[in-house]
Amino acid sequence: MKMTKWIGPIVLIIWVIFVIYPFIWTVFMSLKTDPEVFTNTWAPPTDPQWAHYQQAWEEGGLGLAMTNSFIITVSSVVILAIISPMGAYALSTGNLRGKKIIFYLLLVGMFIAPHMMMVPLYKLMAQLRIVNTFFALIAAYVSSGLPYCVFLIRPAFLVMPKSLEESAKVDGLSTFQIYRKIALPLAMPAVIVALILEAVFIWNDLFYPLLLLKTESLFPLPLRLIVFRGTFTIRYGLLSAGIIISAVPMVILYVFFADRIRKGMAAQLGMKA
Amino acid sequence: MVLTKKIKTEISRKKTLYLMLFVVCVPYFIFFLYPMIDSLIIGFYRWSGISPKMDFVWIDNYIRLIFDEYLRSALINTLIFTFAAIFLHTVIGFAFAWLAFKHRRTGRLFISIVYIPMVVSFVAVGLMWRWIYDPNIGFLTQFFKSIKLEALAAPWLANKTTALIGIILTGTWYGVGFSTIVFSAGLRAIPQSMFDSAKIDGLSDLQAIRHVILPQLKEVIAVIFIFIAASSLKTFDLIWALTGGGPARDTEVVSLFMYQEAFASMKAGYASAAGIILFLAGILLVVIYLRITRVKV
Repeated sequence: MKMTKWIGPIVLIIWVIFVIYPFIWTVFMSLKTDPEVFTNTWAPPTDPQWAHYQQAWEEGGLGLAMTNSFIITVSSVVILAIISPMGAYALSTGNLRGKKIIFYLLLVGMFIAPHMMMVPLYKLMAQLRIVNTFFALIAAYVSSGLPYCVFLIRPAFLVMPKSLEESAKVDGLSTFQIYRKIALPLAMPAVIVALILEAVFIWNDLFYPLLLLKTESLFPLPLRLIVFRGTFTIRYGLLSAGIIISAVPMVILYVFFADRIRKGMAAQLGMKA
Repeated sequence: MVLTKKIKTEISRKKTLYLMLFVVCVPYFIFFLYPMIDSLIIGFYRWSGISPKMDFVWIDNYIRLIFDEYLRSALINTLIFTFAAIFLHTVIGFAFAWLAFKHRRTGRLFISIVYIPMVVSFVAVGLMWRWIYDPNIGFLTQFFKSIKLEALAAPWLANKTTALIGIILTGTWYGVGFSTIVFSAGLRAIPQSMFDSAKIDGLSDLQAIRHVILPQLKEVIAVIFIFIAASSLKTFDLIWALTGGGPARDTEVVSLFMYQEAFASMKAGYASAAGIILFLAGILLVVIYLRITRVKV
């Protein structure tokens, strides 16, 4: 009886270690000299090479890549922040014609792998002459992120009491004012969750930059790491320092917003309403 | 007079709402739906992707795809990967959620840690695990060596079967936090009285799970299935960073196959035709999703 009582927590703890150890191991690795990587697998480095971080940041171009990632992520998220709540609001209220069809079309965007359209997307961006610019990436992220944001935010508008809108109407507020001043503030928690999830996705994405960028100086972090691996095949210390640098911002974001991110994850599935 | 004023405000209200919807539709239609349709059209052409010359070849591409061994292997890998993910994430995710629910204190720590890999990029994760599976420097292979399981201390990513297992293991390590969190939200939504009555009826844990808990979570499980299926079909980055589709082209999935054909072999028309698989799979998921949730528009 005693035994079974402990099995549960032990299983959980083992998985926690299994989740965390690879990160710690990579931090250790980033501080080892390349020969030590081969002789000392498990333990902390004997002589920590902190310079690896500086080298990865400068030589490896991770500093520049981080700026690029930041510009791309923030621009896309700002646009999503402005337009996706509007769509969610319009889809949650009023019996508009064509609402149903747009709803279904957005649903398609949630479930279809955007990889299916890599060729025409590239073709379209080339025709618009924005291949190899941030505009192409931002357009791709906004359009593919819209369905998620709309469906995450819509339930927040759906549960809003109708009486609130009615009284605002009586007060003479226009529809847009009602949205802006009453509905949107109430839906804000859902909006923030949606935007955090989108930011994490965009920051970490490799596919779209791989498809749409050519010039190394424009590369965001994930693509930079891939190039980095190609250039420094044997330089374990530098590359693992790069991996850690690229992961740190999102881990910090997670520490601050852990609860919201987790709730958002669960909300994604509860979006029937 | 009052009535016409009411109608007028209703019209202007609709105008505003349409405008708001329009703002969303423009980028979505141009950069998502249009390329989606276009990819099905490009599938009917022989096209390098760069030259202006596009030859209409009817369904030639689609027919050739049926006999393409690389595509067949990519499709099988996609299916293995998807079903393994659905199975492992649901079973392990539920087990973890249940344990965390029963042992609240360890559970809280667990829930906050298990999700961490999901905020790190697939590229970082893939590069890390590439080394973990490396027989010279990786701790996993070193671990197997130290407990005298020499067979498992092999270079995992150099062999098709073990490479696939490696991808699935890393995928589970990465993603199981998602289903765990959703299940634990589901468990917390079950009224306490149901657990109490199960206890009074003298049900063991396993019996309670089978007869009381799981029926309550039916819908949650169904939706988790679809979401994991959808995200498995979207897997590209992880495999790109972990194996690059190798050894040879053994661990490619459909999206990687398309990328190789379009941008390495310069067969853009042919690659686009293969996209129909992802298209149909996506539509199927939408239909199942609508069936299960009976979502109201």
